[in-house]
Amino acid sequence: MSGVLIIEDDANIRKFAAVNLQARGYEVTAVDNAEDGLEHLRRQPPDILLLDLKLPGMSGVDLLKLIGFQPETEHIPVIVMSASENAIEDLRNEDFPQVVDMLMKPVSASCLLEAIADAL
Amino acid sequence: MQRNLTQALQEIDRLAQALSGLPSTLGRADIQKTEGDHQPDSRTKAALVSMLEEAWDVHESHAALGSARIPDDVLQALLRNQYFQSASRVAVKIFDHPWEDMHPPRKMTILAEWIRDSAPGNPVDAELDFADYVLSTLLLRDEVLLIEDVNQDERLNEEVRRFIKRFETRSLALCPLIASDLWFGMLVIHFSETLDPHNLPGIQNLVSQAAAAIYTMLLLKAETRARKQAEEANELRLKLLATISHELRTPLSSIKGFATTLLADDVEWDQESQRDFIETINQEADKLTELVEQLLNYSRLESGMLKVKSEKASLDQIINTAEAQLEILTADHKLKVAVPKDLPPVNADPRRIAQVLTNLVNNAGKYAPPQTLIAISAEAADQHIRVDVSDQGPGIKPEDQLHIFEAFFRSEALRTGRKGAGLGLAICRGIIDIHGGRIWIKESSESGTTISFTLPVYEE
Repeated sequence: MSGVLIIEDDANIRKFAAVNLQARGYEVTAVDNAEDGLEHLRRQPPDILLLDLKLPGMSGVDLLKLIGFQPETEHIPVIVMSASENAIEDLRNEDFPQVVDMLMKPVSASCLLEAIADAL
Repeated sequence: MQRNLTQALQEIDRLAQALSGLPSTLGRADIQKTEGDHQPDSRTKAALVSMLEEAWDVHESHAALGSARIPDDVLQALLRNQYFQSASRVAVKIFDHPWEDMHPPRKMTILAEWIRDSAPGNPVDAELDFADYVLSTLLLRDEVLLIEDVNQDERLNEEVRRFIKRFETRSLALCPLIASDLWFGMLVIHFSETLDPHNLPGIQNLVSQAAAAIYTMLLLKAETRARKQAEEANELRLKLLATISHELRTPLSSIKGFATTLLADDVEWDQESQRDFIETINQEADKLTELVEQLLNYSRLESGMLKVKSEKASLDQIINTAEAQLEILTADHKLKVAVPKDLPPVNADPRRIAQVLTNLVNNAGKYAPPQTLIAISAEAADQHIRVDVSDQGPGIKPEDQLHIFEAFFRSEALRTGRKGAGLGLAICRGIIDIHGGRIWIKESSESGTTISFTLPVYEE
């Protein structure tokens, strides 16, 4: 079954994504910051990364830049989630080939599941 | 210009010759006609040349004033004129507000200043400012103040005399600057030679045009500044809107997420999960309500619409008002309230101060580890009561301490998980400001943070 890594600092949104994906048989790992996320990405590359943009410490965009340059992580498709229009807009103007979808919060369960299924 | 002047002088020569041929009744009285001699009188010619030169000079100054773009251009245009030949210092001073009969200016600022190379003295100079100010008190609207001999004039006191003589000043003229009927400043001119009072009308004429030019520059500057401020305010408003939208979307995300989770057809959630999801929705709805309330409070504060009903109140009574909420907020901590019994009453709105206390305790509770102490204490100092709220949390970094009372500021180091929109402390500051008190971080280190505020003591 496909593995999903969730990096999201809001505990409830993290829980929402995790329970929904687990219920559909995905193998889920969830962390609340980019540093821990990076560690997981290197040790056990998931099939897909669900990434929040505004994070404490290293931001989602910084993480994208880092993983794009590393052979063990550069192939992982990324779905970005954010509650900030500006953050999504800024990301659109940058070139991140790994980003397959951008979700504007609030996100419904079906919308999230569809995006993940499409990306895989 | 120079070539035109030469041409004009040749023209004068021809004109003078022609004039000398006319009957004296038709010519000007001072033009002497000599029988049989068609050469003009040399004095006539000299007078005409001098008149023309003077007219030309004035014309050139006016042209230069008309095309002046900055205050220094105005000074240069004036200095080029013969009336200003012996000037050793020229300064444009702008009043803090237009001078009206009953409201003389309290302050004046220097807009442009020129000092002749040979004249000693530092251009930016408190002594000179003082001298200009003292002299300005002698000014009358629509009248040039002329001090023909600074050594003799009785209107000057010795101190002022000493200050202004540093520019080898013999005469001094202060000209009111008036435009659009507003008296907005003055032009100070020091002359190193005694000024001929006959030159005054000419000087006045130039100064009035200089005033118009300077006034236009001031208006343009004010307009540019106002536009820049409006642009900045707009930018700030857009940023604020983006922040607010982000803050509202965050609890909404959980509500929407868990509601759609429960509605999904393809999964049967067990009872426990269902309850958990509904509880989360409920909590997030509360957060959303709190946020909307904070936003309302903040916008009322910002627009000066927050109503505060100050009355005689004891701090005990205020803490009692907040007690129930303080207990909920410190359920995971130890709350200690130490308020002396003999504390004088304060002049404050108990409900608003209770709000400040709950905001501060709420913050302490968010960041301090569970089971640590959160303390509220108070003491009287001068005409104020000081209240301290301290915790044993991680402290606030020195670089963040300056900003924590700003709206939507959140310390990067403390952003582990979402802990609020960053409005609580901005609201506290707003409320304390309205009460005439002060709020600040008393101390913050790894062993905790103390935030203090003061309230005025109630006076009968």
